[in-house]
Amino acid sequence: MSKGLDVGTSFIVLASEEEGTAVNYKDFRDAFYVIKPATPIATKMIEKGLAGKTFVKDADGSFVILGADAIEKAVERNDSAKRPMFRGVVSSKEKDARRILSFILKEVAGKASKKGEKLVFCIPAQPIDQDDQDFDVGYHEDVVKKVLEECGYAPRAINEAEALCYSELADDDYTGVALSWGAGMVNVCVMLNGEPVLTFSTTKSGDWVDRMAAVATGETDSVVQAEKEHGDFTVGQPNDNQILAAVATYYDRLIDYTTKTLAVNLDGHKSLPKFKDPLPVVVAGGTSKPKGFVDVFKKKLEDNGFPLTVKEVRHAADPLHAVARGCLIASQIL
Amino acid sequence: MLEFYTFLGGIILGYAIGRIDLLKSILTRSDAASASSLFSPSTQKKSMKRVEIDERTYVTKVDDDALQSSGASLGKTTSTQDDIGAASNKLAQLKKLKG
Repeated sequence: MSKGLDVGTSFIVLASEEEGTAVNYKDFRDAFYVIKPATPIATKMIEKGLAGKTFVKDADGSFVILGADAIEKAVERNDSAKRPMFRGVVSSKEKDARRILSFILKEVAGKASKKGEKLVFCIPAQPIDQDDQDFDVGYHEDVVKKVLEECGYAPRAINEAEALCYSELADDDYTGVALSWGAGMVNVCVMLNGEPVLTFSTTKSGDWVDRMAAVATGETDSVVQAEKEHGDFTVGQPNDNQILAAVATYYDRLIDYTTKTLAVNLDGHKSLPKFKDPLPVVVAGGTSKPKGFVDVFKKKLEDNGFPLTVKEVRHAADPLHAVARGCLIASQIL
Repeated sequence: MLEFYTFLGGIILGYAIGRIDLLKSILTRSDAASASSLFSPSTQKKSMKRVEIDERTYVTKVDDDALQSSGASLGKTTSTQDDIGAASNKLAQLKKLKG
């Protein structure tokens, strides 16, 4: 037995195989919201109000609401939920980030079925649009490893987009390009016959869309996120709802920015092999879910001079679970 | 005349003995060259391996003991019919071929 774990900015997904015929996925929203009661009576009232919600009590008496319930509570209070991760790594902005992430990881991954059970988790690549000193994937990797070791696993880290390639490029001899559109970052991997030849990331993705749309409409990030995930909109198309109209516009800009960055950084790169056949390009991740995303992405790739010949642009079969599935596949061969 | 040549020969021999170190250094030029360039910047670069310090914060136990669970299970589980064995085998073969 082995497991795959997608440690994402927005979702943590555990993948495990069931008797060779099925894969089980356990998803949990990577968010928290803290309510600190002012009086003992308030403590009782809040606890009553949180019945049925996912929460933990902290030593100082505050309630830490976790997952989707955290976002719901934040929206109720016209506030934004907090994240234990920011742009793909454990957040340095939140003082509680490390222990909240630790708690969530332990609960989702559970105890290893036997000591030293293999578990592969994903980490982001170094971003190309952010100063190195502002980004520390090494520390993030060590934190996640430490927590998983405490659960009895033998954890190994692989690149997020590399995992996506393992999940989606089996029918293409593991040759092609994969883009994982997470909440915090877009991770890119160019693969040749199962070997990642180039990996990098960009630091604008779904959270950037939420932030920009929130600024444009005067709403909180959590309100925009909730509208975006439950509302009906098409990327780049007008919308009667003001928030969704802003989201659709910023999606268009995000795809434009990412494809331009992709073209500039791949063009003439010395690590890039001479591919003899046109390549499949696979996209996945929560940010790639809205209607029209793949069509706009495909058009922008062409318009912005993507330097490789493309056979097709396709969505992963299961965009939210593809990275965890790739980690699970990697865990079986490592 | 013979005395003059003997005198001249003596001077030349004396000079040669006096400069024997120079003669030795000419004959063993390569060693001298590398020795003299030992501290030159180009050789220093070649001979020194850059050692980088690990500046990452050392991660000790991540203490989440103060967080008391309310008992609710975290995460929603779904199941998909999917045989990943074929994909794993193909990838394993490719990795083996690459050595």
